[in-house]
Amino acid sequence: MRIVIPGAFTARHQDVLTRYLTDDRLLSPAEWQLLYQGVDILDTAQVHTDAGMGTFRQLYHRHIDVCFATSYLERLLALEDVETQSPALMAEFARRIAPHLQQAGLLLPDVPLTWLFYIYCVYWWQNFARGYAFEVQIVRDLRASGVKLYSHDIRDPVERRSVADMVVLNLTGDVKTSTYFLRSASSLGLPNDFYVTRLWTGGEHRLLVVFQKPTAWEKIDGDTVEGRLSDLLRLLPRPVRLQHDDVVLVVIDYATWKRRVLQVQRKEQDDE
Amino acid sequence: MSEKQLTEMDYAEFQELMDAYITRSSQQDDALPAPTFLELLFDILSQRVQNVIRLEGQVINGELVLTPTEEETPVQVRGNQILLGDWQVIVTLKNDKLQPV
Repeated sequence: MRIVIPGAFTARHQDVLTRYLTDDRLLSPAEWQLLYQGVDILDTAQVHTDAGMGTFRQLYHRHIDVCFATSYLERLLALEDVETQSPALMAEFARRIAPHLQQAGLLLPDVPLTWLFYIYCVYWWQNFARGYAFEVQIVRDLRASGVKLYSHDIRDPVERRSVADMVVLNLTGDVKTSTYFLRSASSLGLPNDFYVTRLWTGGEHRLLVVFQKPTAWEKIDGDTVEGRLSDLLRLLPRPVRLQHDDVVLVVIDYATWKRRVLQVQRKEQDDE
Repeated sequence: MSEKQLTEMDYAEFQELMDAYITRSSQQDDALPAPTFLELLFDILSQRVQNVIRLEGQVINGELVLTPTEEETPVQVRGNQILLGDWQVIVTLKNDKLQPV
């Protein structure tokens, strides 16, 4: 076996990757950017075996996504309480990865470059698993709140890859954890009208927010206050219009967004 | 162990690191600190906005032909097709012909 890591993956990338694995709460914004860049570079790392050559991304798809994704999602959808029960499910599947790769000859104790492939697999698996746990939580919450929506079937491998996770008020939306949101923004921009995500505000506090294109918010309400990136947490839960260079987004806390969406849907229903 | 680089670890230490990571990352979400997330998101989007590729379109013998306005672009253009990485964008005219405005 021979593994070729692209020259663009430097010792700094490896350093930040190790620090991320040890404790990601210590990373600065620049280090997060370096981490994402390093993982992106590893997409094209090559594994050469007697059976042929595959990139890390191709081998992840073949050995992890194809083997584990659908069974994980079926188990996830069967959980009654995703928030409390999904961590054990994620860990159970993540711990299957090492034995699976060892059996396939892709994780060898005496070949440290294969460790890098194992890290790559666990990194993307955990992001995948957490991302869908978050999506299921949000979709269930919206439905329980009475919001009418169409959501894609995550058990279907083709539908799962659709750009939008849901449609609400004819607006396309996505539920994205931080990592997926930034990776998606980097490769696709923001093709959807709104994005539900979760931010860390210190300690154990998480904040659910919705990032929207201004045109999407106009359809729901339209009213905003002007803000700067550094003001956002102080201005929420009001809808905050953020502009940085030519990019404009309206950010609102999730509960307020949901309430306004419900108001519009009920008004539409009354008008019919 | 936490200060060690991957290259300085033996396999048992590496397994320990990964096991701790799996435990931690399964229990926590990956929510970034709000200021970090906002800075990264807007930087990424601003950079995308700066990467503008301009193409001009002409209809020649009823076919749309796209041409980059600059000699060097990161995309390949062939007729009505734009190749960008793994993506192929095919542009066609609505109703297959030009409409009077």
